[in-house]
Amino acid sequence: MSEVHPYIVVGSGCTGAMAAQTLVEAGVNVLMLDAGNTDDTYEKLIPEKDFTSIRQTEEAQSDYLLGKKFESISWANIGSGSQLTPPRKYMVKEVEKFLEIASQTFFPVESLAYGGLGNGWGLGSCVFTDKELEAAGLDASKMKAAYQTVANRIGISGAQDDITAYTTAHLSNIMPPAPVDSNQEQLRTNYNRKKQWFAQNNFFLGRTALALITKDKDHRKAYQPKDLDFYSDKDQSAYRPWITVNELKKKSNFSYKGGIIVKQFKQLENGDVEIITWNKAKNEEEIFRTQKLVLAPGVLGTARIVLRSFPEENQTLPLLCNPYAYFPCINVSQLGKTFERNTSGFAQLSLFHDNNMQGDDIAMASLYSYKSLMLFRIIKEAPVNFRDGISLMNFLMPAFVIMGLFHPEKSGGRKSLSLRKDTTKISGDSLQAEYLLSGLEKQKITDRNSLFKKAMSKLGAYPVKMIDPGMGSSIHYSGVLPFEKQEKPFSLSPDGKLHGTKNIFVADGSGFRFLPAKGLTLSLMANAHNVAQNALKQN
Amino acid sequence: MQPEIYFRYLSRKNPDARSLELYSAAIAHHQLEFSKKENRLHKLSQRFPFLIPFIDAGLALTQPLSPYRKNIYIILCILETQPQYFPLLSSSMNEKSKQTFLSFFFHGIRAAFTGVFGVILVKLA
Ligand SMILES: Cc1cc2nc3c(=O)[nH]c(=O)nc-3n(C[C@H](O)[C@H](O)[C@H](O)COP(=O)(O)OP(=O)(O)OC[C@H]3O[C@@H](n4cnc5c(N)ncnc54)[C@H](O)[C@@H]3O)c2cc1C
Repeated sequence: MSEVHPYIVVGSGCTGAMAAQTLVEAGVNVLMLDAGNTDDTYEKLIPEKDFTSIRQTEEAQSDYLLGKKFESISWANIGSGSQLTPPRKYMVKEVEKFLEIASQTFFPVESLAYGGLGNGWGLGSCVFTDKELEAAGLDASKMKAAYQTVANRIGISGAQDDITAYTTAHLSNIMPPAPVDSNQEQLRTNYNRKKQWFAQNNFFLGRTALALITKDKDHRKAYQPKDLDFYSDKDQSAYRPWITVNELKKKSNFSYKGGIIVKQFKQLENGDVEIITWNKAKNEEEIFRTQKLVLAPGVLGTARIVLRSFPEENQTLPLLCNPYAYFPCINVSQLGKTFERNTSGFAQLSLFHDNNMQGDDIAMASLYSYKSLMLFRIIKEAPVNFRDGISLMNFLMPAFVIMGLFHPEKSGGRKSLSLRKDTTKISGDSLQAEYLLSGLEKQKITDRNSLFKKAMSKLGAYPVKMIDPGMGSSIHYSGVLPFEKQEKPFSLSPDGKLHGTKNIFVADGSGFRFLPAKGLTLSLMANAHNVAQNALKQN
Repeated sequence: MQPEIYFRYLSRKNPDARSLELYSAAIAHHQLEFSKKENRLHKLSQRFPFLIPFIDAGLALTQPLSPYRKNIYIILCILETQPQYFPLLSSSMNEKSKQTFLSFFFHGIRAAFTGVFGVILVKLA
């Protein structure tokens, strides 16, 4: 029989990395099992230059801007996958093969990469308010301490302004924000001018807090805007989970095994856990044993593994996902301007709507300028011939503000996951997903979209259309194993333990009973740290 | 497929060897099946290249995902990632270029007219 590992963490994404770091720092032995796909092609091709210089001088730029297989040339409308440029596409490699999902109504993005979805996340970082934490089923005082631990680990930049209460709130050690470009500076000026209207309507604008360091931190370099945010992470200023895992690999009490697809687990009588996996290189099953299992394969990944592990129950799980849509807007004051040279592709400003000023019904929009994703991705949206389209788009592009609007998500409507046997799939099954909003939820979203459109117009950026990339496109998932104080199957105890098990913990967002309309990942990481601490305690 | 006319349509220049090489490689990955009608439109474009903007515009309004347009789109992607076409395709990133409202309105109005005639042309072809 194989060796019994004290702790096994599944997944190297934001939550797996945080949980593993907490365990390793506590001195216990940790094995991380991970699908672990990496980019072997692109990162090394991208020269140490800024985006404009690359565009002006590099003969080989099409290799990484379009992709060696021209994978960026797509006929699909600009949608949630659009930020996945060729150097980021490995994030979703093999997902169709191993993470089968069948749905007409739910189109999630999942990852089998080393670092998971965190390889391409937009870094937007927000703490949840006390009310949001309570609604999610999280302990506010423990989360506050954990937020600070995570912020110290990953590095966060942001400003003290009208949205601080929604972003970094009580956090200390926040670095100053990266510079803002003139497109968004103009919105800020308009906001300050019309502050009364915004305050009366419960809207607040400020700098987006990002997991982006603007001062050197350990071996990571301070952010220098080069417009390469969708392509390269050479300076490591943006927090990516592999940065943590690479550091952990240097420790003697940590080991990493990639190329492993975890299928299910089995509780043994002595309390140990057996993990049944698929070894991709050997093309065969491989079994691991541990005293404590910490699952962090992402919410949908956890749902699959847990459902497979209790097949006799034929269970349906609930599902939460923030409704999301994009609104391209035109900032009229920028029409016909040329771009400044080195700017940032990350969200620069965020607009919050605190519906009743109680902190429990907040919607958030992230505002992006559009430059390094290039002309070819948007020109096909224009119903004109391409030649005139080139001139028109060049005139409009510096004035584009893309508003990505998230809505809060509670249980309601018909939103669920179940597992169906499917012998044609490698896993032997496929995840069935249904995501249908109730009429009331739809109405609320429509009303709020209108409010945000009005607020954007007040900022001087006029929405031209709404792009609905479909449910699942927010890439914010949770709630499949909701936190429950009482022992109940297919739920988690507040400390992250899977009810009905002794030594199985879930460190990703599976337990969150409510999804605030904010970047959730900082909260996922803080919770993962707490879950790991609880796993350590329960010896 | 002889793509040169479409390169000239977008860039007003004959394509260089590298762009043509990239085009062949891209087409190998994104195979395009022209329908009978699109073949007719392609032949028409070869004989009368000045009709390309009309056909392109007509299809943009009636069948934006037509392989005829996809073909031009592939060429546009290639041109945008070639440094010699940077001034033409990325004037918004070129600090020296001046983009005027006048030229915007000119192109807007021209695009609208081209669209109207294009729809008729595509219907008739
Ligand atoms: C383009 C984009 C932009 C985003 N922007 C933001 C943002 O601005 N703010 C924000 O808060 N969030 C954002 N997100 C969401 C954020 O990325 C996720 O919330 C977060 O990364 C989830 O982390 P995770 O660890 O729970 O899961 P994942 O990142 O999915 O990690 C799962 C890990 O488990 C591994 N794995 C999965 N299944 C198995 C298996 N069966 N066996 C073995 N290993 C497995 C994977 O390889 C991976 O390492 C964005 C996401 C994307 C894609």
